[in-house]
Amino acid sequence: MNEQATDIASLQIGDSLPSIQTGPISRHAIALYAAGSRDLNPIHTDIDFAQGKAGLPDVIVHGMFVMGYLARLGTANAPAGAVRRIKAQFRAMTNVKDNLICGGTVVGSKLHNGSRILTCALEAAREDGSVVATGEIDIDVGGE
Amino acid sequence: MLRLAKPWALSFQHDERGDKVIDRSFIGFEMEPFEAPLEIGQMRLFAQALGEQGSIYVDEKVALAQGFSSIVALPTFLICLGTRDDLTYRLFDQLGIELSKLLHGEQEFVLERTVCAGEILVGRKKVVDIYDKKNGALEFLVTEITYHDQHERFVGSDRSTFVIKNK
Repeated sequence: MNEQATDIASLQIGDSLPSIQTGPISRHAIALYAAGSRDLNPIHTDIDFAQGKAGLPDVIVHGMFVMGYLARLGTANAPAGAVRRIKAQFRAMTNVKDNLICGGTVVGSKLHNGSRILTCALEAAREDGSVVATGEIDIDVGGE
Repeated sequence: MLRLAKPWALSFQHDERGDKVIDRSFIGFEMEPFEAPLEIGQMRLFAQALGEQGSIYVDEKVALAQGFSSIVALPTFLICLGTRDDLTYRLFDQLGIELSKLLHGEQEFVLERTVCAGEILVGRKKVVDIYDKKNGALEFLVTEITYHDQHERFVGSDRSTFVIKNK
């Protein structure tokens, strides 16, 4: 529990969660995610496939890698099990060496079975500000 | 083992421009339930791949000390259960979807409770919707997997929207 970065229960609508960066995403990071997630689509790991079959300049990063980082905004700031729902829309391809900044802003708060659920809007953007994914996360911040 | 209930129904329709269109009769199609064990090694590798810092997601001693039965699954870990035995890619193959034309459009997980390594869930996958935009140039496939535990209690769900670029 001492690993939590923020007193999440004190956040109000409009407050932000501390952002998390992926760092420049390497081919190794993509390969590691392919193995860790069992998502073995060659568009992520085989440049010959990406160029020859999909007509892309290079392999692309798994959307789920980006979503996994967005989910870390929940795990970094709340205890295990507190994330009750997470949703992501993939808006652009993430490329090798993109450094994504993942951020969240509280947009809602409701009571559910005696617990307060914070809803945060999520966004993953490149350093130039272009957005690759948006989403939403519901975090259970406990009793009132 | 994934099996189609109506394999003979597999066919493609073509619109006036000749684009391949996924057979809409697969809407509502349900696959055989599958067993989804949460493997500790896979969960650790997944956490490592995402740079997860929380020790409860990788260190069993820490998880046990906090009252969990083993390390805790990360919020997006359910995706790994759905790709077991190529469940995802075999469906694309059965539907005639080429991987080179496929993009992941949207993803949502609902997490009813925390799941830990060592649990064995039962997944039920179905095709929720198939539709297209731009006169078939873009097709959308929506699938949902619901997970229940050994006591038949709902644990969570995985809803995916895939985009197929026919042009």
